[in-house]
Amino acid sequence: MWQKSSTIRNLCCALAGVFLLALPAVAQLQVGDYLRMNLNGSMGFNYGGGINGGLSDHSMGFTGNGVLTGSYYSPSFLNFSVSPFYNREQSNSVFGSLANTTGVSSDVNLFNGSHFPGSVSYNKAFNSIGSFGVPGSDLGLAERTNTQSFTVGWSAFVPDFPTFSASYGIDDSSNSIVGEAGTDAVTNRTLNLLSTYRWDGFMMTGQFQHRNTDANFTQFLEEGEAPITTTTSSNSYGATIQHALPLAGSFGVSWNRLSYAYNYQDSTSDHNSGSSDTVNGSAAFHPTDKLAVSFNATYNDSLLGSIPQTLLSNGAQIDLTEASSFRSVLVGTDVFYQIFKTLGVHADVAHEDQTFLGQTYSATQFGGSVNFNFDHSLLKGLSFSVGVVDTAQQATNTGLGFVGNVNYDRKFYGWDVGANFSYAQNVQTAMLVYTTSSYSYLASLRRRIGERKYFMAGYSGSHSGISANSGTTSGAQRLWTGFIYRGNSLNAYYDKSNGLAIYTNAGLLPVPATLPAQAFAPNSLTSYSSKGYGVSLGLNPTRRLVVSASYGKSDGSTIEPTLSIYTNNTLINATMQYRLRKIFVNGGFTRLQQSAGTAGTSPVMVTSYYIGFSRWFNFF
Amino acid sequence: MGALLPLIACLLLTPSWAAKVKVNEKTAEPPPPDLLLEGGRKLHYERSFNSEKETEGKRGFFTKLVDVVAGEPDHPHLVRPYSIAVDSRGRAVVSDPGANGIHIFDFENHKYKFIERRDKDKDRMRSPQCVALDAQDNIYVTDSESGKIFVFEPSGKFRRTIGSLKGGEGYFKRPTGIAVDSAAQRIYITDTLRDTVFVLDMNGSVLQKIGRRGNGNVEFNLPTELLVHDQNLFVVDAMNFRVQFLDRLGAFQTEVGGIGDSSGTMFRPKGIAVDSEGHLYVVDGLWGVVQVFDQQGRLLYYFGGRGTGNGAFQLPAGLFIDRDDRIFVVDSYNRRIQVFRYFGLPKQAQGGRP
Repeated sequence: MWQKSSTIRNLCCALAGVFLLALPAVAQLQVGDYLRMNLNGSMGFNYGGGINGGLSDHSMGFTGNGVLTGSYYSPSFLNFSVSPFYNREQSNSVFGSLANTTGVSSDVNLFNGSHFPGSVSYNKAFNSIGSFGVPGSDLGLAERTNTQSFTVGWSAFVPDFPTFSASYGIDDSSNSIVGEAGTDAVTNRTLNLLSTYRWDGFMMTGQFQHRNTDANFTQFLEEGEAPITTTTSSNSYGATIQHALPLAGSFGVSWNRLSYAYNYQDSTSDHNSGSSDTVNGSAAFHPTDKLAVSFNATYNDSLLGSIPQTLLSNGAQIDLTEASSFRSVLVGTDVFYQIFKTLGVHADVAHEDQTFLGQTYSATQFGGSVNFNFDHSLLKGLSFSVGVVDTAQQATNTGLGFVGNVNYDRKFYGWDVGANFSYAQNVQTAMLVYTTSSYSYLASLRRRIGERKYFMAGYSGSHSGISANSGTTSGAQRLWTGFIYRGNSLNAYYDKSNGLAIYTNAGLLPVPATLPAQAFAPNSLTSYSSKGYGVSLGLNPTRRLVVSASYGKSDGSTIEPTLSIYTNNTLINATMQYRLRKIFVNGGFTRLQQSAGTAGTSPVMVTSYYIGFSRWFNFF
Repeated sequence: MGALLPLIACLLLTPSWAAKVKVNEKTAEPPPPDLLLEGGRKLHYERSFNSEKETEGKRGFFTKLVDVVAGEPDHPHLVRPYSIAVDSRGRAVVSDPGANGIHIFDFENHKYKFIERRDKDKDRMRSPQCVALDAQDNIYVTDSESGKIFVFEPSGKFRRTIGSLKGGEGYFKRPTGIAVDSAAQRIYITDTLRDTVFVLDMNGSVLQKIGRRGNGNVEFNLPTELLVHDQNLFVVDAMNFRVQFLDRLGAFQTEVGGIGDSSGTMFRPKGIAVDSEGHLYVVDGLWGVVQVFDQQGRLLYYFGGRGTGNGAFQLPAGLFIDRDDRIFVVDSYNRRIQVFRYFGLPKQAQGGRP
């Protein structure tokens, strides 16, 4: 009892002190002759509680955030910004108020506007809530994260000399999925160098990037398995030269080399390294308004050149099958002619030689398409393009490919109608021996049904896969609707998807459609299927009050070669904020039920709520 | 945390720190000196205003206490003001395309009102430009985007639009300048894209069209603001860089201006007004000055200059002179209205004091 009285007394004293400090506001603080600073921010008090696994807890305490900006000597010489936050509610996270975050973000800029500007930044956030990606799920899995990053950069822009920019950054993060044991951690170190130079009409660029990623993540989905540790190091060098040509043309030559070394360890260990050289030359001409011609030649000596960097930077298990034996040479030309205002034709031809899995393939691809935009009053808003592709190899013909796209966008009696359908059959992937087929569609409706009242609905989907290669298809569908009235909105969605994914520290990332599954080691891929639905409500009953509530549910399953995993979560989230001048009354409620594991895994249930107030101050 | 705040306060108050730390209060900038003119006339800077806060009266203890505890309220303020008129009750009516509405500042009664029609299905006001008042203080606003003239009662209540066609669009292509002659029951409107001045009756029927595209007499190149004073109709012929003096029927009288960057020429003529001695004031938006001409078109003097301090302007636009020779200049990019007062010979002779 005595302890509580003491806490309340301290609280009152502190708040009184804060108000007194705020009285001489609207001014600037000067320290010494050169240092000038401004500070504003919010201070408040929160009461919160939660139920986690049947155990309840309560707490109360201060919350606060501030923005300190300032300069030394002059803003151009040195300016800085420091923004600390303490016990910040995570009402801006999709998972609501499951945690209170403490941290700081800061940056310093030097010599702004001079020939030698520099910058330093540091950010840290402790105990924030993030999302572990699950393909096809709007929510993913809730995870607690700690992040920290430091970046330093410097540039030199001296007239008539090559420009030069350098930056070095370290960022590390750790995260643990709510309800699951184990913590994942990733540390990235990145060095970027860039130089450009313009000389006699030539624009030259050179760049270098070194990236080192150390990832350590638990196999939470497979109980008893050892944690995965990966170390990836990559160097990327590149140079480009561009110059203008007659007939409104230009040409460019570029070279890029990417080398990497990769170590993987769990109960087994693996090492992989390789490099990729890509050389590209191109020229384009635009002799008249109606005619455009381009030529292109590319040499690539490793499939690695086609792998998105996102997979590498998230510690994914990159284990390319026979990657070192990949070679590709492509030469092609492309012509476009606009016959009429509404009609254009396009033709291209390309020849490619490729070595993959010890065999050499050679193919010539011919393509052509017609683009048409209807200008008729009845069909206005309709446009389409159709084209054919034929790829002939030395041994066989892959069959006629077809690409088409239809768009419709029109207003009908107050309804904004939009529709799109795209189809592609037997279109070349990164490797000649595989082609891909896909289709996607979208239909949307929007109508203004009164003063500040809108209704909208839509349905979209896509389906793709490597032709004649079962088990590689992926698809997604989404149905959504919404109603807006003044500042209030009601939205709902339903979606489902399936496909192939690769396990990374950030979650399961879908495999790029241009890469056949055969390019990866069989045990590195996961087949997934998920569906989810949700509804959200946003209310703005008065100018000062904002209320939002949402309900979301998603179910997913992954089928690995050895184990089937099921994910499931249900989220109820509600927040409110009332503003009276500079005082904010905040409240929030979150209830999360989440499970990840084999079928029948018991879900973890977390409930959290808070109510509090904060006051914004302009301190000086 | 509770102990941290007193610690910071103590640290700041420690003598060694206190000597080095100072709080730079935002002090009021001194007004520019009076501009002394020929014959004892002078131009005096009075003040500027930019938000609802300036209309507030003396605040009581309770109001001050609430301000300390809950903070000051958000005062609506000028965003990109363009034009101004002052009614018979001394209220300043300011059009603000940036805020998409009309501000009414009533300093005498400590009241403020903002008029907008941005969310209306019918007669939505999209980009208010110039404002004019009739004898009953009804407010007339040109909307350059919807092509209509909006009419509001002195209270701010919407009354009607002028120039609405059946389909809901406006009759005018781009109405900008407006003047109301209550005695003659006429409304004058410049349609900038048509290079024409329309003369309407109070019901909105077109009675006469004045001017056509060109650079001769009674010919315009993108006319903008206009003013009716005594028997004259003044039209800002913006891209001919001049102001044309016409009579009420549209016959040419004389002109002032011409392109250039020296005194007496114009580069971006904007608002115009006439003082009690019949001098014509013309705002030049680019040079940030107000030039004053006599009735024969001779330059008398100018004031202002580009800047952010008191008495300086950045992209000034509208101009209004009330019956007490208070000159209201819309300092658009500085988001404020600056008020000057002209003391002419008659007022001093009658014992007027600065």
